Amino acid sequence: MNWDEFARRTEAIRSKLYKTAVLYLGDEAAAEEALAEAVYKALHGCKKLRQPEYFDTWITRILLNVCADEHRRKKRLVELDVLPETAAEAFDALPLREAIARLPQELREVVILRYFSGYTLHECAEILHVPQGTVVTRQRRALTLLRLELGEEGRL
Amino acid sequence: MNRNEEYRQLLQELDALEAPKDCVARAMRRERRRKYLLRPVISAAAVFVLFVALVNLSSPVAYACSRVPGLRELAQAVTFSRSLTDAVDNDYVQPINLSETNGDITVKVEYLIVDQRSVTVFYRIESECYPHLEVDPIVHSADGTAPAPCSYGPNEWDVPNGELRSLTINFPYQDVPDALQLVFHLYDPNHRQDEAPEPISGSGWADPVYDPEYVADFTFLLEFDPYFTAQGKHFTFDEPLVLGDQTLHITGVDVYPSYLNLTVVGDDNNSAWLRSLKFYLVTNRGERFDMLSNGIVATGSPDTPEMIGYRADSTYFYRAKSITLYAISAEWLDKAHETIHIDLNNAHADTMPQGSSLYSCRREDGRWIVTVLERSDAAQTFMQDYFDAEGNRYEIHSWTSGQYALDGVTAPEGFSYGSIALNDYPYDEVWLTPRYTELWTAERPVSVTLELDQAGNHSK
Repeated sequence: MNWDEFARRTEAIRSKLYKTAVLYLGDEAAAEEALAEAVYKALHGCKKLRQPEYFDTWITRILLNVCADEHRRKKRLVELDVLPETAAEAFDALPLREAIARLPQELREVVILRYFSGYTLHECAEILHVPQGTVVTRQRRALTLLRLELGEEGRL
Repeated sequence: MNRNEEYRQLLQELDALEAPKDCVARAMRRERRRKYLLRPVISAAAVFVLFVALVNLSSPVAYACSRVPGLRELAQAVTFSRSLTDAVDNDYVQPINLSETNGDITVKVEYLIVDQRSVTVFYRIESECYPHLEVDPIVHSADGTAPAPCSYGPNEWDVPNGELRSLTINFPYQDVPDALQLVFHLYDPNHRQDEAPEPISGSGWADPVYDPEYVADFTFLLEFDPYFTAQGKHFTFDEPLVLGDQTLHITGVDVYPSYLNLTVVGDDNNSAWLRSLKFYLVTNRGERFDMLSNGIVATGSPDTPEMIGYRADSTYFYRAKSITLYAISAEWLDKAHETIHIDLNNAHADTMPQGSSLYSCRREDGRWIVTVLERSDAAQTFMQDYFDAEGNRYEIHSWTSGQYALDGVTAPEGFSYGSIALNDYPYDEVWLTPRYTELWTAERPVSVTLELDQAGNHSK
């Protein structure tokens, strides 16, 4: 993929990536930095992307890795505990945005990708490198914890 | 508000956010800088050369070169340099029509701008198969047996095939020889290197590897006209210049067609080494010349940490009888603080360079990450070398700089956070090497006039 194509494809998905990062990190400034880092890493590695049809899921995976790194760094500095799945009442007491941030990582990623970034089940499975059945299981568990009544096929 | 209402509201909030628009452009600039800094730069002398890489993005050309039609394109190719523009304007160009073809690809070397200390090579690449090719140049001695004692780099990136492009070869410490061998390794920047769509993970501290696959190599023998390689004038002085508590002596001015070099030396009684100097020059006829902002801009002393050579646009074609130097600011390195001790466990520094402060020291995956709040307008605060308590020397291999600290705190206006990684460093104290410790800024520029044709000076 050349740089012109990279710029065109990234521009088309930029807004979606940014929303994903904002929700993942809970902070617009950190999301901007994460987006910048992810786009740089993608640009650096775009020659390795032989099948351009996977561009969207590929760059989203890179962004999730960057966000996960940043999330781990933040956890060391501030109290940012992930709640266990048994703590249903604790999730209830939190605003939705914060409750999402406290989900275990594998559930948080699925919720963000499926219900906020608008990826399909198939795309989520590609991004997360797991079978579609695993995505379905995770999103059910996440929706239960968040007490969200959303269909399996996406947004309300 | 129930959860689903919260969900709708959160969706609306996210939809209202505007994503930053410059992330792709920033990434491209960063990648170009990375590629550029990894290009080979060979220097025979083991002294510090301050090299600034700016992208020549083909600024609009107001200049009209009408006398020599063939030079119109050349005039467009030198807009990044006032001195080279003046050279072309004065027909100071050596045509050299060399051409070599390898398969579908042809490389033509067409012009040189040569003087005593530098060579700018103008060439073009033609190919039907490849829409865009980039070059890794290597400069050898004329017989091809040894690297030439020079540094070199391209003056622009992303020039389409068929258009004139250039690279500059600098000889900071000796004269340009009679001839050089120039090897071009060509690669396709759009080439897909392997099959796997691998996501990139990790914290971003690792240095990326730069290893393009070359599609063709070309070798040219550049023979220089002795008239051009003789061009350069050297003037000697001992003019004192007092900058606050420190004194400099201006000891020489070299005027080449492609740049002017000012040589200074610190007074023996100075308590600090000069690390950088900002100035501009004005000729006796009122023409102003600024410091270079691209390529080699300053050179260091082989014996001390002092930066003693500073480059500006050339007065060569203006035949100035005198130039007045106006010093604006300087950075100094305290001779008593050539290294700075840092207690990593307590994030405490005995002292810090003026205008900067130690923000944090964090232990992470076997390495220390030292973060400094530093002036945005300065180059990095610390040099590459650092030392442990026994004086063992280590090298910093990676650093980052940005508006945000690792904990998300935003830097005040005019400052940024710079982080350096001390890889595999087990100790809890370190001695870092500051680039400077003190700043001097003139309330009004400090000036000194240098007579270029007075008795006692000599020119080559």
